[in-house]
Amino acid sequence: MSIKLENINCTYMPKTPFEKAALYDINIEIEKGEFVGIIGHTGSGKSTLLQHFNGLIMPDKKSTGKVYIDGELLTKKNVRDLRKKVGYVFQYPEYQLFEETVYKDIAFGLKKLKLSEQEEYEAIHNAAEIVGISDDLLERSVYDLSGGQKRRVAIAGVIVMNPDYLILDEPAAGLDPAGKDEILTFAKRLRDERGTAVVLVSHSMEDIAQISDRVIVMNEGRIVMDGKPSYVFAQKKELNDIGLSVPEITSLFCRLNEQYPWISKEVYTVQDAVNVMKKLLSGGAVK
Amino acid sequence: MNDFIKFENVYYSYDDTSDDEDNSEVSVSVPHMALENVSFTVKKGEFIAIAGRNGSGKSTIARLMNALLDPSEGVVFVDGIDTSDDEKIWEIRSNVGMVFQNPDNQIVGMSVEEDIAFGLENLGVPRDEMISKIDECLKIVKLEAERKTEPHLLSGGQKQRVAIAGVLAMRPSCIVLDEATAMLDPDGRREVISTIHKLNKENGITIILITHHMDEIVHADKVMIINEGHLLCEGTPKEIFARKDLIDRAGLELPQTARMFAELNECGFEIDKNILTVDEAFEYIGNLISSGRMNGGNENVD
Amino acid sequence: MKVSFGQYVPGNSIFHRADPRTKILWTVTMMVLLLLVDSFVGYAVAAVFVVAAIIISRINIKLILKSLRTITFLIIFTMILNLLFYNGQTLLFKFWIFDVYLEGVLFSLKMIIRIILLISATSLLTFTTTSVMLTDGLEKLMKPLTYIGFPAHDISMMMSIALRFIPTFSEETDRIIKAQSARGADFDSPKFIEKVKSFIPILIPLFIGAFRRAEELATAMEAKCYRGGNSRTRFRVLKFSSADLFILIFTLLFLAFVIFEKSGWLAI
Repeated sequence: MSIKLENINCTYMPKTPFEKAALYDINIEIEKGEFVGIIGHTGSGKSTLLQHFNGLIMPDKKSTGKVYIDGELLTKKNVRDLRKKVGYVFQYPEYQLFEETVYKDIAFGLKKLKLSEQEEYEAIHNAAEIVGISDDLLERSVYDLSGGQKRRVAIAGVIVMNPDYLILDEPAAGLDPAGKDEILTFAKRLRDERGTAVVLVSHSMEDIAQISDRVIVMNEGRIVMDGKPSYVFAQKKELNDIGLSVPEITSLFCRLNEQYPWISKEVYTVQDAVNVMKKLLSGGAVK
Repeated sequence: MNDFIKFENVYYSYDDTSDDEDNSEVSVSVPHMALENVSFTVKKGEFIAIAGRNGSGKSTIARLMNALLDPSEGVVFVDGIDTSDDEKIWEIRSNVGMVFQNPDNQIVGMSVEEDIAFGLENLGVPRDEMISKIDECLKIVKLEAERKTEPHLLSGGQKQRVAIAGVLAMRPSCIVLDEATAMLDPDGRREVISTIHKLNKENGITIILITHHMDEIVHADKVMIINEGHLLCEGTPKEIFARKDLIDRAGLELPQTARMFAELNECGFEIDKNILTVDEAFEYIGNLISSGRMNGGNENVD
Repeated sequence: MKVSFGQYVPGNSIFHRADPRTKILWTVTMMVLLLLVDSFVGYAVAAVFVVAAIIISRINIKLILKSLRTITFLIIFTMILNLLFYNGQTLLFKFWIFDVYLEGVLFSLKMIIRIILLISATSLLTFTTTSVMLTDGLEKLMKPLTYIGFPAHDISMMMSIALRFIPTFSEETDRIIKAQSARGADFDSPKFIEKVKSFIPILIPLFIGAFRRAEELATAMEAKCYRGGNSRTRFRVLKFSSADLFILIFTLLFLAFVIFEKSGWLAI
């Protein structure tokens, strides 16, 4: 069970003066149950890559590029069906809300599935519950909600389809830290409880290091690193070279490690840092 | 006349409930308090950061500062002028410039230079003067090369710098940035933050930076935390960073380094709480090591 | 990117450099005059003028032909109508219930030439003028109307803001279409009603987005002391130059010819 991209190359606006290669030789597989973080500069090809995962962009027929979803080759014919397995949350998804009530908007994707009223209600109720939208909000107008709530309703409209793979393109952009935490928490919960694969794009190295099992680094249309957070964020210099950074706490411990080699630089989260410091301090400054 | 902006017991209430407040239990059409009894002063040339979660009332404060809103109760003074004085409204607005959150929705011009000219056109500045002012502002925000570029071809950070330049051309004493970095990527945020620090230091412009990114406020002269329409606390960044309890309450988050120190403190380690940056942390830990207070892992040293 | 009808093509020809007001004047004059001319000699001379103008503007003739292609249907339609319904004396042949006359053939030929010349001449305006300049030109030309209460400034401000937001909205439309398709929206239903319905999830967010943007933009404009047209100065200024003089003379020459022709000295 996976989404697999094979030899994907992609060009923007071919045969015009604006022609620009967006992706080169992408070979990648996202397994069910993974929590994958994607990082890269603006314009590094992240969005183009993501849109291949559910066939919003299809590989050029003439190329050898192929996309497999759960082993099935993605074609123009089956794209509508296969797409149901892959939920896609765009940036600022609250701007695509359009129904009169929260309930109806979440239900939009379900219409085609011809569910019974009871099944529909349960699906909507569950999706709302996961994103933290309480039942009393379901009959409200979406325009009465706060920005953070609108965002979560829009995401509920995607996870109501119960996708096996969920793509989140900067889901926390513009939100305050509390709003961001809510979203990351339920993304994690979806993975842990339903085994949904989550692909998260973020500019926050701190969030990516905290939450992902696997980090993919994009640069100029290519995948330049792919591995555990500890593998990717250990390459501080390489990341800096392509205009990315390591989490703030990692950069502190890298500097400490250069000066005091006995201090570990394998620190990727605040929790790591606290553990390292506790050990170091236990010889000294305990109350 | 040292107080440039002065809020005196300011209240502000919205008449409808469809503002971006998170209190979903409030029923329809009850006047909703966005600000309650807020008082503070900003001195000329200061760099002030105002932090708070979405819907805390911080944008309302921004709009009160240049008479886009009038207080329901209390008084707001800008350079000694009461902002509710309708006669002086244009004077206030040209003196306090605003940069908003969405870079796309504040650019009027069809090109960078035309957008910078927009404010000057409104003030009735003669064309020859406009050109020299535009040149100067483009240089400050480092967009000389993009002079003729159409706005939709710019990056988010560039768009916000155009917005800053457009405000700057009007020669304000103060620029208010209302979550102007919220929609930007890390590069864009860095560009904007370094631009406004430069304006503050080199041009003496008072800066009011409204944000929920705590890492952007470490170099401010003063920080105010707003929560649920109240001024929760104000102080230097060091004083504020030491109050993790208040920051948590306001729905904000300390940068990682500061969080590590705060958590170690909670665990009972007696170490400094007001470390703001990686540099400070590096120096502080170095001191701990040289004073022999931190040697738990030191057995490996040859 | 598709070059659509009359989209601005950057350049530095006399036409590009000329004041938009001059070009608007040229366009209007050409439209009127081409409707007045109705002899083949007249058309031949008009064609010389139009072709000369195209050469002066250095607009690739292919672009002009492309914009003509978009009205092929109109041309064919006019031709057929005139062929079938024109009543003349010289019957050429009968076609089903229609009689086709020589006069009809000649008339429809004239009509086609007229349309082609009209489109070619007028498309020069949009090919050589940015929409901003066009708005400015229109505002200046409408200025006298402000004395009778016509809001010339407001209209031109609205037009230029609309132009400024076209790329923003086209990006947004693209994004919303993709987002709704990702949620299972289907835009190619064969049933008409279904198809219309399927656009609601795109149109509503687009409209709401437009209102949100308008509101934010209005706030930003107000914060920058915008208060309507009075007492505003302008950064973009329009100036008459030698290019304008050239186009004016060019237009006048054609005008002189049409007067000459209409007065009957050239009548065939």
